[in-house]
Amino acid sequence: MFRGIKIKAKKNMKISRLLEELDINREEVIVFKKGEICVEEEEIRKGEEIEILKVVSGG
Amino acid sequence: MVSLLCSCGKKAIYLRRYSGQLFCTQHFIEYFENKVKKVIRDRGMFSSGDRVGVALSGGKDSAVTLYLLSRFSEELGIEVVAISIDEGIRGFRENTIAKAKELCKLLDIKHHIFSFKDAIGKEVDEFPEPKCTYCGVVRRKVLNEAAVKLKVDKLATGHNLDDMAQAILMNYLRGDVERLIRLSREITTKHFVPKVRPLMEMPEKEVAIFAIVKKLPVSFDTCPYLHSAFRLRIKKIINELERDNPGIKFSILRGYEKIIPWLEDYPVKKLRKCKICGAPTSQDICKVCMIESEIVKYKEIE
Repeated sequence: MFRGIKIKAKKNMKISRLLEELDINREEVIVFKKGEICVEEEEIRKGEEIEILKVVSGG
Repeated sequence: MVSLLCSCGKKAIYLRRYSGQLFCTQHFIEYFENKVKKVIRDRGMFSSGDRVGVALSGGKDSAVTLYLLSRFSEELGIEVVAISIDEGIRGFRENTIAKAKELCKLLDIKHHIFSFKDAIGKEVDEFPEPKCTYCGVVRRKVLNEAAVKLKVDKLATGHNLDDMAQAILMNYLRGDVERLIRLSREITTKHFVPKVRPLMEMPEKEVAIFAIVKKLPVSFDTCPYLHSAFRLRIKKIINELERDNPGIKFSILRGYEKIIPWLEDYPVKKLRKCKICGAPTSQDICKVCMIESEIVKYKEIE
């Protein structure tokens, strides 16, 4: 529906940790897993893909 | 490990970090709608019988504002119309206006589109730099004139909690007390339709989630001319603070609202009538007329 950035996890980790590593502020994005919005505290497994949509205008 | 289920047992889509509460889609929608309704009521934004114009850009904030006011219209006893302004930004505004039209059709709301071209004969693409400054002033004028023409009693904008926190902090940092006061006290004269901000207590991220889960036709495009470096810096700083101290955006708004009553006696400049258009202004000529003449002059020099 919206175009976000797709990222594959290199290891098992919390989404919030992955965002930190990518220097993305969780307050400025919505994360989708398998097309559904998910909480950043969720874990993702190695090889699993998430989509990060920047929703804060201009930031 | 943090549980990722809503209290009802369904999968959570949102963690409200300042309260630690997890919401599934259904409970998030309920929470969001009830909160906006409470803000509207507590702040006495509308009176029964009001005709409300919603400034609709096609972005998520104004789309959510229109959706909710349309949804609450019967309960609040208000009539809702949508007003879009086409500033003339090629490659950007076409898409957002298309989304605005789609939403109005979906909600069966009367949609009125006004353009800079019709109002002042120039589009933003033709404006001198800094385009944002000129655009902001002209847009406010065109929007206000549209509201007067459409005989609306209130003009609802999509300003969210993030916008409020940014405006407050920017004015603090600049020491601009007059603007700080004006943020809470709208000028209400026959020239200005009073503005209301139903989403003023809703964080931008929550507004975006609401727009997505309700599948509203919205655009997440950013204006190509957006470059107010100071505002963007403040926005980044506030979001960093919020990430490390959840709830700080609310604290900025609450703190500001506690201070405002103490500024009742602050000497604000007395307003006069603009010599060109008659609108209230603290100078001989209002900012809009000044800017319009600058834009015209710019084109002549070119």
